Amino acid sequence: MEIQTSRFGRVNVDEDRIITMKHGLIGFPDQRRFAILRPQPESVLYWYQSVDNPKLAFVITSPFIFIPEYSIILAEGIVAEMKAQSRDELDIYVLVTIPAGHPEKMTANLIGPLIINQKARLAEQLVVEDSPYSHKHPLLGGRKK
Amino acid sequence: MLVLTRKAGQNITIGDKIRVSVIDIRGRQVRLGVEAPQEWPIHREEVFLRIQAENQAAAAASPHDLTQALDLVFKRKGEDQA
Repeated sequence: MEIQTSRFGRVNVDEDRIITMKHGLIGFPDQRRFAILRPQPESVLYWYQSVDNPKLAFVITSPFIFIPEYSIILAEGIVAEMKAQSRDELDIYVLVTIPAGHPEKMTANLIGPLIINQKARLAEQLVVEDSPYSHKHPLLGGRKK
Repeated sequence: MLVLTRKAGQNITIGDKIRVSVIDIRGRQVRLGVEAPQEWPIHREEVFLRIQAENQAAAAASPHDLTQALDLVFKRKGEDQA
Protein backbone atom coordinates (compact mmCIF):
# COMPACT_ATOMS: atom_id res chain seq x y z
CA MET A 1 0.00 0.00 0.00
CA GLU A 2 1.03 3.58 -0.44
CA ILE A 3 1.64 5.69 2.61
CA GLN A 4 2.16 9.42 2.79
CA THR A 5 5.30 10.68 4.46
CA SER A 6 6.43 14.25 4.95
CA ARG A 7 10.09 13.34 4.51
CA PHE A 8 9.90 11.04 1.51
CA GLY A 9 6.59 11.82 -0.14
CA ARG A 10 4.54 8.77 -1.09
CA VAL A 11 6.16 5.48 -0.20
CA ASN A 12 5.13 1.99 -1.15
CA VAL A 13 4.99 -0.38 1.79
CA ASP A 14 3.94 -4.02 1.77
CA GLU A 15 0.85 -4.50 3.93
CA ASP A 16 2.61 -7.40 5.59
CA ARG A 17 5.43 -5.13 6.72
CA ILE A 18 3.20 -2.82 8.71
CA ILE A 19 3.87 -3.08 12.43
CA THR A 20 1.17 -2.53 15.02
CA MET A 21 1.82 -1.11 18.45
CA LYS A 22 -1.01 -1.74 20.89
CA HIS A 23 -0.04 1.18 23.11
CA GLY A 24 1.68 3.35 20.48
CA LEU A 25 4.94 4.95 21.50
CA ILE A 26 5.43 6.67 24.83
CA GLY A 27 4.11 10.17 24.36
CA PHE A 28 2.36 9.12 21.14
CA PRO A 29 -0.20 6.62 22.37
CA ASP A 30 -2.55 7.09 19.40
CA GLN A 31 0.04 6.35 16.73
CA ARG A 32 -0.25 2.62 16.37
CA ARG A 33 0.94 1.67 12.90
CA PHE A 34 4.49 1.98 11.70
CA ALA A 35 6.72 0.76 8.92
CA ILE A 36 10.49 0.40 8.90
CA LEU A 37 12.03 2.20 5.96
CA ARG A 38 15.60 1.48 4.98
CA PRO A 39 17.24 4.42 3.20
CA GLN A 40 20.10 2.36 1.79
CA PRO A 41 20.70 -1.39 1.84
CA GLU A 42 23.93 -1.05 3.84
CA SER A 43 22.56 1.52 6.25
CA VAL A 44 22.61 0.85 9.99
CA LEU A 45 20.11 3.63 10.62
CA TYR A 46 16.50 3.13 9.63
CA TRP A 47 13.33 5.16 9.71
CA TYR A 48 10.45 4.06 11.87
CA GLN A 49 7.70 5.83 9.98
CA SER A 50 4.15 6.29 11.20
CA VAL A 51 1.70 4.96 8.65
CA ASP A 52 -1.10 7.26 9.76
CA ASN A 53 0.80 10.46 10.55
CA PRO A 54 3.00 11.49 7.61
CA LYS A 55 5.11 13.83 9.73
CA LEU A 56 5.96 11.35 12.45
CA ALA A 57 9.08 9.29 11.98
CA PHE A 58 11.98 8.22 14.14
CA VAL A 59 15.50 7.12 13.37
CA ILE A 60 16.12 3.69 14.87
CA THR A 61 19.08 1.39 14.98
CA SER A 62 20.13 -1.91 16.43
CA PRO A 63 21.94 -0.98 19.66
CA PHE A 64 24.32 -3.95 19.43
CA ILE A 65 26.07 -2.40 16.45
CA PHE A 66 27.30 0.37 18.71
CA ILE A 67 27.15 -1.27 22.12
CA PRO A 68 27.82 -4.99 21.71
CA GLU A 69 27.40 -5.60 25.44
CA TYR A 70 23.98 -3.93 25.60
CA SER A 71 21.43 -6.15 27.23
CA ILE A 72 18.05 -5.73 28.81
CA ILE A 73 15.93 -8.03 30.87
CA LEU A 74 12.74 -8.95 29.09
CA ALA A 75 9.99 -9.97 31.46
CA GLU A 76 8.31 -13.28 30.60
CA GLY A 77 5.09 -11.42 30.01
CA ILE A 78 6.60 -9.50 27.10
CA VAL A 79 7.32 -12.62 25.07
CA ALA A 80 3.70 -13.73 25.37
CA GLU A 81 2.29 -10.26 24.86
CA MET A 82 4.26 -9.94 21.63
CA LYS A 83 2.91 -13.32 20.51
CA ALA A 84 6.40 -14.75 20.26
CA GLN A 85 7.44 -18.30 21.06
CA SER A 86 10.66 -17.19 22.67
CA ARG A 87 12.88 -14.20 23.30
CA ASP A 88 14.81 -15.05 20.14
CA GLU A 89 11.88 -13.99 18.00
CA LEU A 90 12.07 -10.45 19.33
CA ASP A 91 14.27 -7.79 17.78
CA ILE A 92 15.53 -4.93 19.86
CA TYR A 93 15.91 -1.49 18.36
CA VAL A 94 16.51 1.85 19.98
CA LEU A 95 15.39 5.32 19.00
CA VAL A 96 18.17 7.64 17.95
CA THR A 97 18.24 11.38 18.53
CA ILE A 98 20.33 13.33 16.04
CA PRO A 99 20.66 17.00 17.06
CA ALA A 100 20.16 19.09 13.93
CA GLY A 101 23.49 20.12 12.49
CA HIS A 102 25.39 17.99 15.00
CA PRO A 103 25.37 14.38 13.89
CA GLU A 104 28.48 13.77 16.00
CA LYS A 105 26.30 14.26 19.06
CA MET A 106 23.80 11.58 18.15
CA THR A 107 22.49 9.55 21.05
CA ALA A 108 20.34 6.50 21.57
CA ASN A 109 17.66 5.99 24.15
CA LEU A 110 18.79 2.81 25.85
CA ILE A 111 16.08 2.83 28.50
CA GLY A 112 13.20 3.02 26.07
CA PRO A 113 13.97 0.25 23.59
CA LEU A 114 11.62 -0.75 20.82
CA ILE A 115 10.84 -4.45 20.93
CA ILE A 116 9.66 -5.77 17.59
CA ASN A 117 8.29 -9.15 16.61
CA GLN A 118 8.73 -8.88 12.84
CA LYS A 119 6.92 -12.15 12.17
CA ALA A 120 3.79 -11.15 14.07
CA ARG A 121 4.22 -7.51 13.05
CA LEU A 122 3.88 -6.31 16.64
CA ALA A 123 5.99 -3.84 18.54
CA GLU A 124 6.14 -2.19 21.92
CA GLN A 125 8.32 0.46 23.49
CA LEU A 126 9.54 -0.73 26.86
CA VAL A 127 10.52 1.36 29.83
CA VAL A 128 13.60 -0.23 31.35
CA GLU A 129 13.84 0.37 35.08
CA ASP A 130 17.06 0.06 37.06
CA SER A 131 19.32 0.31 34.08
CA PRO A 132 22.99 1.26 34.00
CA TYR A 133 22.25 2.92 30.65
CA SER A 134 20.80 6.30 29.88
CA HIS A 135 18.19 7.80 27.61
CA LYS A 136 20.95 9.80 25.92
CA HIS A 137 23.75 7.36 25.27
CA PRO A 138 26.26 8.85 22.80
CA LEU A 139 26.74 6.52 19.87
CA LEU A 140 29.87 8.09 18.44
CA GLY A 141 33.00 8.48 20.47
CA GLY A 142 31.21 8.00 23.77
CA ARG A 143 32.57 4.52 24.27
CA LYS A 144 35.72 5.56 26.06
CA LYS A 145 33.89 6.95 29.15
CA MET B 1 -6.26 15.25 42.30
CA LEU B 2 -7.75 13.18 45.08
CA VAL B 3 -5.49 13.26 48.13
CA LEU B 4 -5.77 10.47 50.67
CA THR B 5 -3.70 9.82 53.75
CA ARG B 6 -2.67 6.21 54.36
CA LYS B 7 -0.55 4.34 56.86
CA ALA B 8 1.80 1.50 56.02
CA GLY B 9 -0.30 -1.58 55.34
CA GLN B 10 -3.26 0.35 53.95
CA ASN B 11 -4.50 0.36 50.36
CA ILE B 12 -6.29 2.44 47.77
CA THR B 13 -8.48 0.98 45.06
CA ILE B 14 -9.08 2.57 41.68
CA GLY B 15 -12.05 1.12 39.82
CA ASP B 16 -12.28 -2.57 40.46
CA LYS B 17 -9.03 -3.61 38.81
CA ILE B 18 -6.39 -1.40 40.34
CA ARG B 19 -5.01 -1.42 43.85
CA VAL B 20 -2.23 0.69 45.31
CA SER B 21 -0.75 -0.59 48.57
CA VAL B 22 1.47 1.30 50.97
CA ILE B 23 3.87 -1.50 51.84
CA ASP B 24 6.12 0.32 54.22
CA ILE B 25 7.55 3.70 55.03
CA ARG B 26 11.21 4.11 55.93
CA GLY B 27 12.37 7.61 56.63
CA ARG B 28 11.66 9.63 53.51
CA GLN B 29 10.88 6.67 51.27
CA VAL B 30 7.58 4.98 50.84
CA ARG B 31 7.36 1.61 49.15
CA LEU B 32 4.22 1.23 47.08
CA GLY B 33 2.80 -1.89 45.51
CA VAL B 34 0.56 -1.55 42.48
CA GLU B 35 -1.74 -4.25 41.20
CA ALA B 36 -3.27 -3.60 37.82
CA PRO B 37 -4.13 -5.48 34.63
CA GLN B 38 -0.94 -6.53 32.88
CA GLU B 39 -1.51 -4.32 29.86
CA TRP B 40 -1.56 -1.14 31.94
CA PRO B 41 2.04 0.10 31.98
CA ILE B 42 3.22 1.26 35.38
CA HIS B 43 6.37 3.33 35.74
CA ARG B 44 8.22 5.75 37.94
CA GLU B 45 7.05 9.07 36.55
CA GLU B 46 10.45 10.67 36.02
CA VAL B 47 11.63 7.71 33.93
CA PHE B 48 8.46 7.75 31.86
CA LEU B 49 8.76 11.52 31.27
CA ARG B 50 12.41 11.19 30.32
CA ILE B 51 11.56 8.65 27.66
CA GLN B 52 8.63 10.69 26.44
CA ALA B 53 10.83 13.78 26.06
CA GLU B 54 13.51 11.77 24.31
CA ASN B 55 10.92 10.37 21.90
CA GLN B 56 9.88 13.92 21.08
CA ALA B 57 13.48 14.92 20.43
CA ALA B 58 14.05 11.86 18.27
CA ALA B 59 10.98 12.67 16.15
CA ALA B 60 12.59 15.89 14.96
CA ALA B 61 15.16 14.19 12.73
CA SER B 62 15.28 14.87 9.01
CA PRO B 63 16.66 12.71 6.17
CA HIS B 64 19.62 15.09 6.02
CA ASP B 65 20.35 14.41 9.70
CA LEU B 66 20.29 10.68 9.05
CA THR B 67 22.60 10.95 6.03
CA GLN B 68 25.11 13.03 7.97
CA ALA B 69 24.94 10.63 10.89
CA LEU B 70 25.42 7.63 8.63
CA ASP B 71 28.48 9.22 7.02
CA LEU B 72 30.00 9.70 10.46
CA VAL B 73 29.22 6.14 11.49
CA PHE B 74 30.95 4.72 8.42
CA LYS B 75 33.86 7.06 8.88
CA ARG B 76 34.32 5.94 12.49
CA LYS B 77 34.03 2.27 11.54
CA GLY B 78 36.68 2.89 8.91
CA GLU B 79 38.96 4.46 11.48
CA ASP B 80 38.37 1.60 13.92
CA GLN B 81 39.45 -0.89 11.31
CA ALA B 82 42.46 1.11 10.14
